[in-house]
Amino acid sequence: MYTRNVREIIEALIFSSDGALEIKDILKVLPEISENEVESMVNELNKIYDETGRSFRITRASNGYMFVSRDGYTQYIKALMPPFRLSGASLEVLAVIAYKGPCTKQDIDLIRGVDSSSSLKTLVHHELVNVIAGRPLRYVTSKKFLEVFGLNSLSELPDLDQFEELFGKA
Amino acid sequence: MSSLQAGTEFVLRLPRFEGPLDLLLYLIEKNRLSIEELELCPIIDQYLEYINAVRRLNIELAAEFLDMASYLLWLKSSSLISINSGTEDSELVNPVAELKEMLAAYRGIKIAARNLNERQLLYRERFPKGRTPKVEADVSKMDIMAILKAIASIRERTKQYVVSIKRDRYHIREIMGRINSMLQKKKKVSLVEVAETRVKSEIIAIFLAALELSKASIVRLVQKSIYGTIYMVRRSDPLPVRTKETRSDIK
Repeated sequence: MYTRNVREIIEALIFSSDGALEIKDILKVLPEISENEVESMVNELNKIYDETGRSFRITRASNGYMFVSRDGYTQYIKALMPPFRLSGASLEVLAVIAYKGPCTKQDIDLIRGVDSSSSLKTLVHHELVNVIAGRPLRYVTSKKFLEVFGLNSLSELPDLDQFEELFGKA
Repeated sequence: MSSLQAGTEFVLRLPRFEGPLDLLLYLIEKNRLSIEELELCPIIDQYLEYINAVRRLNIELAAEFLDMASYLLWLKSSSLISINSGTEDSELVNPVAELKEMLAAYRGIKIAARNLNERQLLYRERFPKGRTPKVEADVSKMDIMAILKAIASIRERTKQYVVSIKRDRYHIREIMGRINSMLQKKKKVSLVEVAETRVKSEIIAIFLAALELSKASIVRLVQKSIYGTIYMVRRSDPLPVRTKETRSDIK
């Protein structure tokens, strides 16, 4: 049916994509394949990478797949490019947007009890947060946010109530 | 809980507080209290103690910390006044409950933020394919015209305009003293009388001094009609001029 192994076609598709390649895009190219088959082929590919000691693997994020480096290589890659760092304030703002978004700057300031302008600017600059036009502006987490934090969707984030269980109703 | 201990410990931890709620949460945890059964008074005292300790060190605090301080003071005073809390008015929002709710919501977000940070992050623990950092433009490859243009634009941007500002010779405090001594002699002084010159800055200073004196309940400002002469009338029991000092204390 295909001139090449489906597994390697999937590999080529993921390899050539910028950012996470969504499963639905893979299925567009390979209409005869099911989502489950894509998943098991990716697992096979990862097994090959494991067995041959490759420095990378395919990971799932943002409802798709992407190549990422393995743990042991981080220190070397960091020497090549400065690692990404988010301040405590930026992380808080990001958490508010991830859990309560879309929300306005006012909503964020109210929850944090402190002005969030500069953190918001940083997050928008890093494309972790998208701005929804309107008055007032509203903020939502972006596709890149899912990629960076290795999530398929926001629903994968632990429930805020769960934290209460984990850390006790303090 | 002595003030000295608390002070030094806080200062070391200073940069870790993201905001007033963060500081409050820290104090609550430190006192091994829960948000639900929160005893506010000791927490409020410690909060204010911290704010004072920081300000003694001349460290700039975000305005929100001071906002919260004044809110807490209000909360404390209103809780001390309303002893007859037997009449529960469900229509009114309970400020303490509101504060607890804010603290709980913020704590949730704080934990969520920590949780996010504990994930394996792209560009931090794992790196995606490609996207090597962009190499900075090499200056030596720029031609001379580009550099000259850049210099011209920097010059334009940083052009200095000479503006001479004459130092204001008038001190409101001094004029307040002048008015005060005039009021020792007679009960009523018009603003115009106080002026020694017709210089605008002096007139402004006199006006401000009059407002200060009125605020301190030393004089009453009287004006019969619009655009009419403004008089300062001495109040029966003039207090010493102290407003300036108290103000600089607050600042």
